[in-house]
Amino acid sequence: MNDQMAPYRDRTTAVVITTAMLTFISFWRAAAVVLCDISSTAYYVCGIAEQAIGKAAPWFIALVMVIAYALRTVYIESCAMFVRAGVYRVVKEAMGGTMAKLSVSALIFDYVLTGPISAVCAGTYLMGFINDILSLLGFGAWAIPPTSGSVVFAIIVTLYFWRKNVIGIEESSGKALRIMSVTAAMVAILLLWSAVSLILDPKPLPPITPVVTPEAWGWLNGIPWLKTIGIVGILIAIGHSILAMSGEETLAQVYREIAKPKLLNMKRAAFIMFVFSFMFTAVVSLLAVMIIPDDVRANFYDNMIAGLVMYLQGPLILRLIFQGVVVLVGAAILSGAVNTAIIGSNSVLCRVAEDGVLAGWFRQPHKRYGTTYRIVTMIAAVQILTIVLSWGNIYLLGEAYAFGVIWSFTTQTLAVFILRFKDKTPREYKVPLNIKLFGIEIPVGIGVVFLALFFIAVANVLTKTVATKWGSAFTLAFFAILVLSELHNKHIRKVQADKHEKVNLRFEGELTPERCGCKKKNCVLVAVRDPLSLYHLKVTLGRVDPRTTDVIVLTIERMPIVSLPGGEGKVEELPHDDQLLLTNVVALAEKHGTHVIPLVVPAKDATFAMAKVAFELGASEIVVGKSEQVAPEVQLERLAIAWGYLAAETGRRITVRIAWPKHELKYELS
Amino acid sequence: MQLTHYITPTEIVVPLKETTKEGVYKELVSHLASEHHLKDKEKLVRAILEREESASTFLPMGIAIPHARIPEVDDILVVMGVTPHDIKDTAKDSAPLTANVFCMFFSPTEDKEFGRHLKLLARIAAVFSDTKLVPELSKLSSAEEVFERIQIREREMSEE
Repeated sequence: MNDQMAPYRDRTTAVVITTAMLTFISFWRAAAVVLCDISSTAYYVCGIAEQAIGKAAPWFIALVMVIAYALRTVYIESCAMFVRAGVYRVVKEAMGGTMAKLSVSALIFDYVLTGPISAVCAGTYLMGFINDILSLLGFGAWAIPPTSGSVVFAIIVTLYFWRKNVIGIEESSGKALRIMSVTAAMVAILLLWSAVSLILDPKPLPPITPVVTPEAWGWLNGIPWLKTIGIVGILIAIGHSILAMSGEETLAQVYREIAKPKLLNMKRAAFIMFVFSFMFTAVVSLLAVMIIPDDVRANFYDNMIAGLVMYLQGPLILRLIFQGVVVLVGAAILSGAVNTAIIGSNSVLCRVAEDGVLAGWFRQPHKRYGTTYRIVTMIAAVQILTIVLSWGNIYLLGEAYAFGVIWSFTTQTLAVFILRFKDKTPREYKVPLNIKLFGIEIPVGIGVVFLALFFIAVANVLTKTVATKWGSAFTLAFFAILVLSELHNKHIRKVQADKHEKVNLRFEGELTPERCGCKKKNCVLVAVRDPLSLYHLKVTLGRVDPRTTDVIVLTIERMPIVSLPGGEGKVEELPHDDQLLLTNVVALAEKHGTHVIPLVVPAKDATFAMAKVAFELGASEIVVGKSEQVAPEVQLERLAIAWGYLAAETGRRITVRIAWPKHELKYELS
Repeated sequence: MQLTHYITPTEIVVPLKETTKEGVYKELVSHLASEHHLKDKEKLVRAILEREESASTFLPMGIAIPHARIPEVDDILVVMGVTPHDIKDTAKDSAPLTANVFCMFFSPTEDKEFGRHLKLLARIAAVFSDTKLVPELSKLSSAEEVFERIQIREREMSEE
């Protein structure tokens, strides 16, 4: 009798797949990340818009907020179709690669400018406040040069969030949530105090008719008769307020990280964003124009909210203290926008890299944190360069910034419109207002949003000369880089796009819940093997509560795994089939918004290894798909034998499910 | 669930006469059929071999658990055989395992009985998870001794 049990007594070793992309966030966090982008514009949009269209600016900012909410429904529809549904993916599906690259280039122009304008604006608020305090204390001579000070501050903030994003989004979204909580409290006080001030000293509402300045007519100055057409003036007015509407793309990028129930949570996040941004950006702008006297308001174009506070009713000391709060919150929220810009551009470029347009080198995860640090570094570097080159000119940055925003939104909406006809798969969500004519569904809602955006975009091109020149130049240059990069990739690799998930591997010599990262009360083990047969994982992700349950996704590797130097390695060290399997697992986890912990365990006897891992991790359930080799009953019998052997001395019980389309076998083993 | 609730010494064959897997299966089926007045022995052997064909029931602890679900029985019927000879698993694609203890059983085909079927499999694996047990049993010469040793093992398990 030889020792046949020897291989079964080996310690279970495993490779744990670690990636920040498998972390999911609540709708509050998602809304906070996007709001840091959208709401930050409240600090500068009114000043920029009023310089172009006069006192009617707040009405148009309010209108832009409503258009933004309508556009958000378009994004919700596209996200429900493709989890990674940014401009690139959606436009590519609808209109092909060239249009997709152009749209992404415009969008990157938006992101490259969002960071600098926000950081510089934060610096402007901060420098203004510091100088006010210095002056009040009699140290006016020590005042910091506002422009240089804000440029230095902007560079420091960009570097700070570059570092945070290299560490990972979980921490960054937590910071965004804290920033937005404080901002919400500040906005509530500001609205209340403004209401009291207006009761004590009533002011008239600003006029609704825009007074477009000659400069704001741009190239249309040469066509005087156009100025007599009201709708043209309105479109130009909206165009000059459009920078209040950004962040939708960030929402699309954050969608993949929104926790279960994904679509419902996205709708919740979208509604929170609308309410908050409307109250903050539109209502506060309206109050600023009403309360700050006309003759001094121009002095506050770069820091309108600080000006509003100084003209509220109440003792000076209270107003100064609250101005300090406004400045600090502004510095935080505007800095948060820098963070959001880095997160957004990182996600967009990751999608582009996945498609083989950018070299896979860019997506290589950070050895320790698992983030795509090379893309993050590239974006941060371009942002810092923009800050230095513009030398903190907020008006210039703001004018140029709207170009990317409006064109990426327009192409995205057109793409979703086209997809309604091109892709007939059932939608989880549809933009409202769909009319059936002769059996064909006409997406009137999307059509209206598209036309509105298109005409605003055209108006912007013709009137914002700086934005058009710089935006077109950047977009075309970036587009050229993408095209050349794609050609280069195809030339040197002659392979298909590398769509495998880029993750880090960590070798564990002993398997424990802690080492695998299990943190929840319950643990469910799902065994996977075939990248195209993941029905049982899908069902499990739809069923478990991620707040209470860890989902371990186990792959048994029959070949010994190459030892990882230093216990860590890259996904390329796994066999090709496992890489594809892992990519599909991550895609499913994202679709459901449920955190999973992928494990690869080397073993000869897959059933025994499955039971052993479940036993060692304290799993309450094993879920497997239907085998192609043996009947489900035989699969259950094998698991029963393995579990009986392992749990002999403990009497522990486990539930086993075998799931395949329209079937499920469920038994308890003990 | 206890294994010894399903067998008595009369359902234990010690030592097995046959020295091949198929021979052992036939010997055990024959013994069980005579104990429980089952008629179609050929059909029972066929059911066991068909199940073995889909996946071997030889385990690395030195036991095999040939089993099948058949409509001819209303309750689980177990028969056990012990031999000092290493009986080789002849199934293709299976690991080269050998067994000295055979724990054969038949269970009803009703779905509601499948849970008990699985629990019995798990129980047999649990009893024989003590790797000393198979070498000890294979040295014993009577069914009573084998039954008693399994009883002791199950008692130890319930005490643990």
